[in-house]
Amino acid sequence: MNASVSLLHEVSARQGWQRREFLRALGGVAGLGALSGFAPLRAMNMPRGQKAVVVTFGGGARDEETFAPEGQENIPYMLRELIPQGTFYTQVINRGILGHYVATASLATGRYETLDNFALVPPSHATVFEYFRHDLRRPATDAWVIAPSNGFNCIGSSDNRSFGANFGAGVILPKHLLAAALQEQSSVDYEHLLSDNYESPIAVPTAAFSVEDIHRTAELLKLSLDNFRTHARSLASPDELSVYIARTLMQQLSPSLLWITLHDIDIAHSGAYSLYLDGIRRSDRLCGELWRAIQNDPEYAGRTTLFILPDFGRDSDLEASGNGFQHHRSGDALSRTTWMIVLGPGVRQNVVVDRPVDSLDLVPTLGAVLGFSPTQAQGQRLHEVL
Amino acid sequence: MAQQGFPSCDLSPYPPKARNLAEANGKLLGLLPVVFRVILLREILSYDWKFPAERRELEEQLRLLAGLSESELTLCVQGFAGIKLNASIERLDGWADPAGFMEQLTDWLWSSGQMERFRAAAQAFAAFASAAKTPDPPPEARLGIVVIGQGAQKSDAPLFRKLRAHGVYFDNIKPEGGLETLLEAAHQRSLAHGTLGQAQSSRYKHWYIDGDVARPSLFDVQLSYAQLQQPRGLLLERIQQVIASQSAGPESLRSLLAKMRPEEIGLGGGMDPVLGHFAMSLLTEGSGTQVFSTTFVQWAARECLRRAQPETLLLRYAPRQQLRPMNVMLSQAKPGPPDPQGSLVDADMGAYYTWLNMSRLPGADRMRFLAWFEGHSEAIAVGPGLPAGASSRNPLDMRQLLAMLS
Repeated sequence: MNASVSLLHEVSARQGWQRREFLRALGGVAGLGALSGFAPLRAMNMPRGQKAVVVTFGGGARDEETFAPEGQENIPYMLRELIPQGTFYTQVINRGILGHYVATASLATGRYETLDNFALVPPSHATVFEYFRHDLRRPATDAWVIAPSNGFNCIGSSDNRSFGANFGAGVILPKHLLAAALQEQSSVDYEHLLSDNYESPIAVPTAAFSVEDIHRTAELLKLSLDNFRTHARSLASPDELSVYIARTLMQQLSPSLLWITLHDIDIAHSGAYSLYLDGIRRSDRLCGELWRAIQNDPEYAGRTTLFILPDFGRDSDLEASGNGFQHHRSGDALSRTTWMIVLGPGVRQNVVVDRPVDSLDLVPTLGAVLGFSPTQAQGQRLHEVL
Repeated sequence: MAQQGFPSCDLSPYPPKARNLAEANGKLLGLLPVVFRVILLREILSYDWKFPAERRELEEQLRLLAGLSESELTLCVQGFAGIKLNASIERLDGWADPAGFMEQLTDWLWSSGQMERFRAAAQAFAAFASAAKTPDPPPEARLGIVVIGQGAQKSDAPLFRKLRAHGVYFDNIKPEGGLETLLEAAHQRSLAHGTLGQAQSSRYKHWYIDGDVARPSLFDVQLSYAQLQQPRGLLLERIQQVIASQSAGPESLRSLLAKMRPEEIGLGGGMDPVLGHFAMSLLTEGSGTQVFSTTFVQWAARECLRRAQPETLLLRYAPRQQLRPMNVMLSQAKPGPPDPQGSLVDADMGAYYTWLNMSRLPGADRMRFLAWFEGHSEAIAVGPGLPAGASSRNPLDMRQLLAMLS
């Protein structure tokens, strides 16, 4: 192991330990247990019709603003509702490129993708959606991605010849759906929902939505465009719009694999700390809402595993080459080290896992939960939640 | 390590002093591994627009490297020599266009998984250079003053939380005349240890940066968000042209901004060229500085401290506009309504970052720092002789508070 990798491990371990200590110090999560040697909880004895929902944050949040004592006020839902009901990984290390599209693509393929973060290109390796639909012979309506950013158009399937678009997930970019629904109407009341790219002022070019596309998606979601417009006016941000679409999808199609990328936190790139905090609080609340929606929906309750994880972290205040919370450019250990919460049937509750795991471990774990074989993915199954 | 002699290279893009410096160090530069050489060349290329403190540091580094034996030189930059390049980067002319080279290199370091190795090499060299450097603290202790919260009501959350562990938190300050007192005190420092009208080598030591219109004052350097309104407008116009052309992506935009000249956005003319380049860099390299005044002040302070290493820095935050979609804010539309409460939170964090950045400079053990919630009774003071983690309810006016720091 070279010195720089060793340093990354050391800092990541310290970060993970701190997260555990922060949680231990919190009264509401007092009973945290640790996992070391143990037998698989339920092995592969999964209920039929198992479902999985993955929520990623495109734009990580640091411990100072979340799990550290001074940040805990920003994540009451995660601390009081979600972590006590799930297993919490304190060290999830991302060794790849720290750009949101490429990092999310890596999470979805289980390989560190090297594509251009700002290009309209699909991942090189098969995605979790392709494995799922290919191996389990699932229809196109059973796997969906909801992503706010323009660059995410192509994340539903890879350009791998063995898989590809025929096995991919449907991708909904709610912002584009709304923009299209507003054709010929004033967008003044919706401006706050039409922004979601904070990494560059220039948006990645996007495939045009045709009128047919919009109506087909609206029909699938049984969504009246009038109702959509009316409801959208009541929402506060692009992430709220994404979760609204996710819940509509769950009600209408009950997909077995649903992937949602939240992005409000990435407003941090503008340098406005208060807006970054607002993004964290909103993401926390939306995760709580989503988990409650899962529990209250008979199609999902009792057979859905929810994974929540940021795609990576943000720069440390102490990293001189960065500018603190604003970016994730320095590549320092904190910008690479994040966390994950897993909740669902058979997942141990109120448990903390301290060992370092890799971002790439998500896809093999989803494969074990849902019953497919991600042959091109790297990473290991997270046995603590299987 | 690439053992090359001084190649015949294109130095035509270099301004006069930079070219002289490159030529004077040609033999050394030829001996360096290409990655490290290009890093140095990028610094040399902008030598004419650097502040005196930056020039001194660059010259010191070159002297340090030139004084090493070949084996010592090999050892101190070996981390950079281990970085593998691809064929397309090797074809680039790092001499004529070091910034372009670095841009491609950065993409390559990420995609080839060598960013960790690069970071380790950079840290190792920084440690080596730092150990060899003679400490150069300023003759007078540095003073940083940050005025936050203009127009805001009482804070929703405790203020100065991150700074309280380092100094004394006051919550009974008499706000009357506070701003005028701070401006006057900073101004008097610039007169007492003044550099106005002196040679360029000793200028840029006393700075005042305002998030709105600057108050009348006399500092070495005075920058304000309002003063840069026209350059911001011209820059946003240029960005809009690129967006509208649909012919360029984010990388092309970055390259375009990197190659922009101050006069293109109205920062030429009678403006001090060093300051013109500095102001342009704040707008073209800073993220969010074009649209949020709070971000502008924080980033300007960070860059000013890192680059000019001033002895006095007075910052005054003003309310930024409310959040609207980025494309709207970048479109030169009329600024949105102000968000004073959000700006107070932004500026509170900005004050902490300013203290952190001051702490990274020589003489940090003697520095004085004061942050005040404008028009209110809360302040924090950090300095020698002031207890860390303490608080005071004593009724003080601004003059008395400043006296505690002196």
